[in-house]
Amino acid sequence: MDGPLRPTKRPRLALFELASCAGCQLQILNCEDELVDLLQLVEFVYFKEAISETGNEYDIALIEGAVTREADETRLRAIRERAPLVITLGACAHPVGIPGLKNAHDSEEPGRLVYGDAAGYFPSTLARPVDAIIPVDAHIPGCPIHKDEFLSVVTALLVGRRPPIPGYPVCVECRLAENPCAFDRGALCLGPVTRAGCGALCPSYGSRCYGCRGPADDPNVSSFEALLEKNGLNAEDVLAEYVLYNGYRALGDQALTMEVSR
Amino acid sequence: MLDRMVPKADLNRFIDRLASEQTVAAPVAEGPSIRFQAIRAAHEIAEHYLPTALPPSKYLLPVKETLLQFRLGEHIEMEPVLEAPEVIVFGIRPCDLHALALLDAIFIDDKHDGHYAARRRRITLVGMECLEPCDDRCFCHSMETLEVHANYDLLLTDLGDDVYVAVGSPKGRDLFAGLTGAREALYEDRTRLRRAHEARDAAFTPRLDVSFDQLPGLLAESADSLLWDVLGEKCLSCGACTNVCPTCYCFDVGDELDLDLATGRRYRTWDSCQLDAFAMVGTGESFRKPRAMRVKHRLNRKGRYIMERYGRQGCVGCGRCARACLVDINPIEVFNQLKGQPASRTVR
Ligand code: SF4
Ligand code: SF4
Ligand code: SF4
Ligand code: SF4
Ligand code: SF4
Repeated sequence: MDGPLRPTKRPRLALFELASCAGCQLQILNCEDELVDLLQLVEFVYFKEAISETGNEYDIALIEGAVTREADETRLRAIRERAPLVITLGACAHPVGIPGLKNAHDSEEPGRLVYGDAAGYFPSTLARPVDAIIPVDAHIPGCPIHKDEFLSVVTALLVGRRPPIPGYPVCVECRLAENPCAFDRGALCLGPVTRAGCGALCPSYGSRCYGCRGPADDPNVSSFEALLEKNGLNAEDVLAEYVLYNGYRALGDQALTMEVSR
Repeated sequence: MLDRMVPKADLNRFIDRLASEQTVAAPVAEGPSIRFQAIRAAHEIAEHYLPTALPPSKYLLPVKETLLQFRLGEHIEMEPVLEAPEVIVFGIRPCDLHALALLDAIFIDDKHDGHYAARRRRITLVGMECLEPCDDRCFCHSMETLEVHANYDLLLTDLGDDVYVAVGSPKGRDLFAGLTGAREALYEDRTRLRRAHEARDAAFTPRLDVSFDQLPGLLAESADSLLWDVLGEKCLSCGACTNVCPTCYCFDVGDELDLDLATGRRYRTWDSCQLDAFAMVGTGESFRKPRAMRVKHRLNRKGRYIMERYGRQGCVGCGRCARACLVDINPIEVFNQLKGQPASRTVR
């Protein structure tokens, strides 16, 4: 542990949780074999799932979860003021993941379903990604994140390199894995427009990509939608394809072109 | 070198024995996908097979390969990593044999790449002739890559109960020496082989409206064709076409640093000119940002640049890219359309 790139002082990490399942935090705890090495490099000052002490000074803020309350916005702005680096963890924080499912419903309905008559005590907004509120320095994608990617991003940041997250689509990794293509068996797949880096995990197990890593850097959305329509989907079905993980984008962002009528 | 004739049953027993003693890779069908992979016995080999998902070049340029290990410190210590396993690659189609000959020309004759050359020395190439077109996407016949005359250790032709074995190198001869049941090919065996070739040539119809050596000229004339824009609108930039192509060899080089921030590895991985970041430079600009430019670049590599530089086909007509492309971009159609409408121009 005497490399010349080793920082003289361990950067302090704080991990904050918004609307999410805490699965991404658990992935960090899953770094069992690497935790000892990791803790020599960085110090966790706030990590709800793992340690109890809280610190108010940190160098890197990791944020898991989607923004669903006004209080989240205030909290995020306060974090951004303190943290030189803000990094999101997982699909909920970017592009909005499972919490974004509620965006496809009438704004009152999800609250009523979950809290019944008490729904009024839990006001909530449209689910939004963290970067809709504050500037974010890097996103670690996935649902959940992969621990190796987390470690490689931390290492890259420590030595001042760009986080090694691919911008190209899942198909690249899928073809390199020699998987049969979902489209060839008449199934659909979001691989052509979804960011790679998972090693085409789902198609490699006989499934298809659901888009959990969010859009690739440069997706050809109109050609992809024409492909889905050629495979028998209408405009509404095409939108439904995006909603599972990319609901916010599908609703509010021109990157995905479909119009929604609620 | 003297060619041999061997009954199929004996050949299969020979493969069984080889596969139990050393690494034999062959096309294996797993569901709809056919891949070169290590086999334990001859019966695992796919019988009729389309070109494999990835080409056999993966044994020479692995998808991800460690080039060296390093340790950072006052002085950087580096040590090359050279892994070159012995593999007998069995059942390589003629198109792929031509593609491997091109890679040899690039990675051994032109630029001596130590990693490629080390692997190449340890690989035995056993080809398998095609006697009919593999499907309607293939156009090897038009690219003149269906006939093979060099760059194999053994080349097999299935003549029914017997297999004709052309011996292409001392390595192939020695490999075959252990085969019981084989005999020297006689005049009548050569006649059977010739008849099989005649039947084969009749079974393949030309797919291209130009001969392969006219492609460089056609592509040069078509630099401003409107077709590139049409293809650019369709292309998903998914990289499938280049990943599956037997003549694609572009790679990216990167470093992996361990958590001690001192030791790590430098590796190379396959890259694709169809991806946004391929032609990106340090300042963030990309020299081939529009998709139309990327598609045009790929098809020019395949039909023109490689031919101009190495005098060999840069596309061997295997049809893999057309099979893999979800939006049906097919080199046969591209080349034929350019031939049909060379005058269509766009102002850019
Ligand atoms: S299965 Fe999906 S990710 Fe894989 S090649 Fe097909 S479209 Fe791309
Ligand atoms: S294949 Fe798609 S859905 Fe599956 S892990 Fe990768 S990005 Fe997520
Ligand atoms: S396979 Fe087709 S869609 Fe994908 S990059 Fe190649 S030409 Fe474009
Ligand atoms: S360009 Fe297409 S047809 Fe030509 S060699 Fe490559 S994959 Fe085969
Ligand atoms: S493209 Fe030609 S040589 Fe290649 S597998 Fe098909 S028929 Fe055989």
